[in-house]
Amino acid sequence: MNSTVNKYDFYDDEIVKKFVIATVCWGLIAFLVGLVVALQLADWRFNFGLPWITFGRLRPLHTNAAIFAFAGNAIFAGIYHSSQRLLKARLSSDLLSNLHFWGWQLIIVSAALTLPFGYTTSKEYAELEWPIDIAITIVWVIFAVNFFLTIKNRKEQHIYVAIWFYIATIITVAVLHIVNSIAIPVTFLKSYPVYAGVQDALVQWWYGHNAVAFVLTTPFLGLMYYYIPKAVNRPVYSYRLSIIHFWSLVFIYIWAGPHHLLHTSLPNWAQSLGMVFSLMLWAPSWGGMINGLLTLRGAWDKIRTDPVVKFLIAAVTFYGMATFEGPLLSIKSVNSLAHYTDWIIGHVHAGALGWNGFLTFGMLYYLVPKLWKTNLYSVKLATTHFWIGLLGIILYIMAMWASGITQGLMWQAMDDSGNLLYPDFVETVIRLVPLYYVRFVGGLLFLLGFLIQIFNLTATVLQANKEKVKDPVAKGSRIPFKDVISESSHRSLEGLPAVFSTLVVIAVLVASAFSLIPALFTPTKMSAKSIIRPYSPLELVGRDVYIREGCYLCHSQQIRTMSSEVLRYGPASTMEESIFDHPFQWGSKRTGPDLARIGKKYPDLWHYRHMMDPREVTPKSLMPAYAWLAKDKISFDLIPKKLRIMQQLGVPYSEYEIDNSIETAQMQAATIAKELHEHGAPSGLEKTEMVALIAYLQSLGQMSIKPLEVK
Amino acid sequence: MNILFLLIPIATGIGIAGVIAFIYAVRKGQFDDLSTPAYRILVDESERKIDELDSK
Amino acid sequence: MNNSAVATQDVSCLHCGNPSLSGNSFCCSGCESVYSFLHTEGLEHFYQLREQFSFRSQRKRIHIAQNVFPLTNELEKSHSLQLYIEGIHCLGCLWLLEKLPDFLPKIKTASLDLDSNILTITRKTNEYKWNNVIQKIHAFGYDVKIIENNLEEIKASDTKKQLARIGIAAFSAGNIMLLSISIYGGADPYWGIRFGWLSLIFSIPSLTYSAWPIYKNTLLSIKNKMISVDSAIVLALIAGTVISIWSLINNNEQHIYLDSLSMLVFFLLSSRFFLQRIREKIGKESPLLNLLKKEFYQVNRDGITPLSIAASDIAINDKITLALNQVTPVDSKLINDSAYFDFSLLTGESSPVKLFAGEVVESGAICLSEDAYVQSLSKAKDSRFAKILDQIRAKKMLRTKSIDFADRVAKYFVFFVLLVSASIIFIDPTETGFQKALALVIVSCPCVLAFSIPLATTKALQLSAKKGILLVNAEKLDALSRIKQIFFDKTGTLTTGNFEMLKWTQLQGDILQTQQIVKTIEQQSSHPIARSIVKNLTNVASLDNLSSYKEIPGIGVEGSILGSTWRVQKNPHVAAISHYRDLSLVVLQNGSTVAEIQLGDKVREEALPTVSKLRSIGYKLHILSGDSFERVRYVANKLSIKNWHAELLPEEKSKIISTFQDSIMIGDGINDAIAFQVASVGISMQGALEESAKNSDIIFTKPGLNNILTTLQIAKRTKSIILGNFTISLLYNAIGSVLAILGIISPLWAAVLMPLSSLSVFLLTHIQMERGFE
Repeated sequence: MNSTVNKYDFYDDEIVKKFVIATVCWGLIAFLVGLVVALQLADWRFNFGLPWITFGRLRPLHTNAAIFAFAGNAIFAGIYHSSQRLLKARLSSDLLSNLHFWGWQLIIVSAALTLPFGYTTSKEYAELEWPIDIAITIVWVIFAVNFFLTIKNRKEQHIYVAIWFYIATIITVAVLHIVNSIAIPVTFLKSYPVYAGVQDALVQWWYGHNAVAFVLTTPFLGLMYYYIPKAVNRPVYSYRLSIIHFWSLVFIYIWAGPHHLLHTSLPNWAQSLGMVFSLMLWAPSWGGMINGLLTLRGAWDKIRTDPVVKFLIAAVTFYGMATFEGPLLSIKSVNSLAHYTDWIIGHVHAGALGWNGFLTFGMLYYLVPKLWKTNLYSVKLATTHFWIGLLGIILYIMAMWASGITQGLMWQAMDDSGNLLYPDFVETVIRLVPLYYVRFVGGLLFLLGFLIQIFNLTATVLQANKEKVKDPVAKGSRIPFKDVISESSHRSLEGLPAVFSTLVVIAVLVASAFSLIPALFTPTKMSAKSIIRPYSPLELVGRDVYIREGCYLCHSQQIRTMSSEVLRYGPASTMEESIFDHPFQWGSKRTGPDLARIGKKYPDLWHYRHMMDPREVTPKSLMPAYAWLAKDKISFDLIPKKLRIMQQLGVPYSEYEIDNSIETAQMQAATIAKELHEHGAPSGLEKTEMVALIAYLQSLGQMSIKPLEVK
Repeated sequence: MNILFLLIPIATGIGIAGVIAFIYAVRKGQFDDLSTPAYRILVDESERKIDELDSK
Repeated sequence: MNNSAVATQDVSCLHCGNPSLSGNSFCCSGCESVYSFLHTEGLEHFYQLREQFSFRSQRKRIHIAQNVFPLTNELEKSHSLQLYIEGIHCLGCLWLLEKLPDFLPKIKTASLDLDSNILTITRKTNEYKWNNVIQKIHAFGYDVKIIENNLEEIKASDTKKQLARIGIAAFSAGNIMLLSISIYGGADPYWGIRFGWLSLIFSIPSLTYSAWPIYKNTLLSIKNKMISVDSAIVLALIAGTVISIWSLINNNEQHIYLDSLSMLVFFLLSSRFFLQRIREKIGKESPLLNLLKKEFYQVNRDGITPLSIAASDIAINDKITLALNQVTPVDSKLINDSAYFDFSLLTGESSPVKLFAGEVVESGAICLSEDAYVQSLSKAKDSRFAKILDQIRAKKMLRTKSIDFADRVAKYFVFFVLLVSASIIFIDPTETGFQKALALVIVSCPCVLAFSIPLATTKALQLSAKKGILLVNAEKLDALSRIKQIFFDKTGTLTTGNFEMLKWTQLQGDILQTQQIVKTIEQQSSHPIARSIVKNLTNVASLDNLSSYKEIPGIGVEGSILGSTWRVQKNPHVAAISHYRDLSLVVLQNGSTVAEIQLGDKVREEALPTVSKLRSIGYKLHILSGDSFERVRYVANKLSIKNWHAELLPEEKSKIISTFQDSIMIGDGINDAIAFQVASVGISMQGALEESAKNSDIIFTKPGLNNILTTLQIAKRTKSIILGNFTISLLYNAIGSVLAILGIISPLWAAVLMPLSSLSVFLLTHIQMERGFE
């Protein structure tokens, strides 16, 4: 070999190794946090009374770690490895690749530092505060520029379908993230989103579903279309089918979202649109599954012998199951049973553990030997990991299906005279505890399997052969862009408009979002003032405590239009009631009862004793204790700024209210503290967050000035 | 519900971007041969030893 | 006598994996050279990739050394070249062929399409001759055929436009559907109207750009004053849009039909595109059709440098050297003193004719003697033979009668539908009246009628192509279903055609050596008897020290090896009339007979069952053969066919056939080419010579007589399906129209029903056709 080797003759596998290692580390952390969180649901004592590891703060850490740290790094590893070989070109810039890697790890670390301390926006799967959101955007643009430059310099004329999936992922995630994270900062780690109430719900779940779609499905479909054919050495079943199912996805995909809000105060036609759209999604998803599975025609015995194929094929099967369960769950009648229950968690984890998890494990078993130029340490260990992991997933899903359906049925059970069979919410909760333990065992098995993989992969890396062996870049049928410049000038210009236009699109989007959005909402808010009063300053502070502790993770604030819910919680929620809620707190799970109309249902003292020790008030409650609220002080000086920002977002606070906001808050706090003390609570609570939270809870459902006409 | 004034334009914007990309791909002849790419990805160069790689 | 030399131990050839005899590691010298060639170029990775995945079985290839690949001058100048590569079977081949630019610096790009086995290569400069790269590919062990005019570009750009149109139609149909679901789902008027206007904006590209082909067809048909199938659809589109805009203006979002219109456009375009692709695919599947073998002729214009040019490039008074069995490309005159020619293609008379210097050799005459020199008197395209070929080819292009019938019915139907819808609007000019008319027009769109019959024929073509039966001319499908008489040619059709070696009696000398010598000599001749002898001696290695070779037309062949002259010729002693007249040969060494070879023309095993099955179905069978009475009687008795004729000249054959109606002529020889024209359907057997195959209506690409049974079965099945499709579409249109007139189905349901009916007809045809043939 001549001494000076041109690095562009070889693929850059170093960056892939880095992402593989990051995937394994963050995967371990994500699964561990998942286990802790599962235990905390089964037994409240595992919160240990510490604010930083209570369920409300650990659950966002689990979701962000699993989606963006574990699956995120896995996607980047897979994309960087496969697209270089598909495009027959090295990544265009090592600097950008490394910037992207270290930037992404920094973002994950910052998430691990902010979430446990309560810095959250409470928008699910987008909980990170605004500085981190900006960092994510920057790192994502770095990734996009690096990827598109590599495409421009590709040496293979045909763009394989996997690359199209990666392109769709990059563009759409950028748009989703920008639109959903638009918020006005209050302090360095606190912000209020621009949207409120039903608007915020729609944007959040438009983002929520498409984050699942474009972070956990399209990139993984791209990986499937590369790694299954490579692992089985067979061309994909029908390449034509993969093109059809990709383009049908892209043309009409972005309408998803409303199926998360069925039977809520969202207008009915939007709900039926969401339902029909989700049913339509079933076809392209199963197109992908069929294509993946049938790639093994003529090679089915490979499943018996090769663990990589076991994992990949099991992953595609789980993908088929989850994308069949999804459209089913979005049918209104099924949704009325399943919404807010653990069945949804079962559906999520069928996709996450089965599809994303197993596909990543299969990819790792395929990649590590290839990257370190050696054979897998032990095939038997990989097979045991498969069976343990599979058992874990099945236990998990079965437990969640059982508990979900139990919740659904018990909440709605009515005797023939029309009143609820289980009026007291906790009667349902206690039935689920054994199932939560079964779920915990399932999660434990899944983690155990992963530990076996970590051992297996480390042993493989250790036995890697020492001398430098690299994969050369293959010769393709296209003249790469940078050689073309020398040949003819017009071709060189052809590449620039593509890059230029994408940057323009993103710039236009961001600019229009910032200018258009506030203008959209202020008029409707003013007129709503006649129906709903905005939160008092103290209630607003209490709301921020509610958000910080992640109460929305177990309590919903949206009474559905079903008779059993109206009987249990009161009149169904209307759109106007949450019009001033920046962010909306409708919630997506009811481990605890719905709080939309909890205001004035119990005296303040009940709330105080419930916060200090929930068992004191409801003996078998699973809720962790929030004793530190009685000690932490309210930062009164921030209140005027909060009200000012709310006013900018259209909430009708008068100048007078803003100027005297601190006094009104202190007065309201003093009255509540005095009344608490008279009924036996300790004195000196007027400055604590306990009082603010109680003020907020008592205001829920009590905000309307004139009686609401209920749908 | 006037969030739709933001959501629908974005949704259709991405859809239209999809159509433009589709037509660009059709023009560029990406769909002329839809059977060989599936085989082409299976073909890899054999790895090569490099004694010292001063690729820095 | 066919005990081959016992293979010492079963070693498979390193290159192609076939069993290699005589102990060394290669099965033939060809494989050895390819193997060593790959290693010298450092391309061993080929074998590793081949182990990885071979997607086709590797057939045994006979390596014929060839290093001159003649090209028409227009191809010589072109920037890119398309090559049809035979022998691609594994990933290694794909890798190797696409790696050409890597080790041939002058080649810019090389990309292979595995579906059609076509390799497209472009070169950096025109000085670099195409010949070197073709030679290199040939050296890798692939057979290379040069593709003529690449009409791919014109067709490709047309498909691209269609794809773009379908993409836009799909996008607008998909999104409008979502908007209309919201409207149907009860969106309050504030949003309903906005969604209405948005769906209008979405429908504009689909109704204008995507639907353009439909408008064009209608304009065309209006220009020549008739109503075409598309005119009904165009009317529906225009009327529907106008009404939708009207109801949008006065804020009544319930009467917007843009969703059904955009779906109508999308389904129409995609079903037509889909159907066209199937027809294209069939065309591709028959290699013989799109690869008319180009004959190249040795010509020298200035008397010095011999050029190898295509027939089309031959200029007047070029001096052409005709090799043995080559067709004279142009009318020309003979230069050397005498030569034998076979005029069967032109006159049908197959016995060789001797011509003398200066006489005119018409184009189409097959030269039977060693290198005859002729001087061309005319250009290729206006030679008489070319005219006959074009005339025959022209006859094939006309559409089948049944398709015309369906079109006529469709036209009247459209006319009737327009009349009825106009009257509905006239009677009840309100919203509902118009809705009924629109629904009627959409649901009764006769594309089911117009498209169900060509679909059945296309399916028949596709299925038979899969079974190795090439229906060159769809017109004949109707004729096939009405056949009564079947005429068989004997040699090559009822019998295997090549002579089996029944007995080899060695009188003196060593048997193996004699066989090797006989094989070496016979290899030089392309006479059918010589070919079958070589075929029967496959396990005997031929020698390569043949010093001289001479062919005596009508008697045999003669060559000298190892110092003595050997001759293989007809056995003079056997009586002329006896059954074995020209099938017993003698091998003479310097005049004295050394061995006798007894050849026999075996009747095909499947001939008896096929013939008896055909007779049981009710066809009348005849044999028409140029062979001797005894042998034809022998075969006729064996197959118990009563009416047979022997020792017929091609003209007599066609005279007999012309006296019957609805007849099939099935044969393989050159003399059957004329008979094919006279019979209502001409079928050429597998292995028939190019010339006769080009004139037949159906070509069997797989061996065996039983193909005729499957062909007749397919024809009958297609006829019943066409009738079935026809009745279904008539029924469907009738019911649909009634429902529309009564207002039961809305335009949206009509737009859904229309593609469903096409789909059902398609599936029905597909299932019915496939059933019983799996």
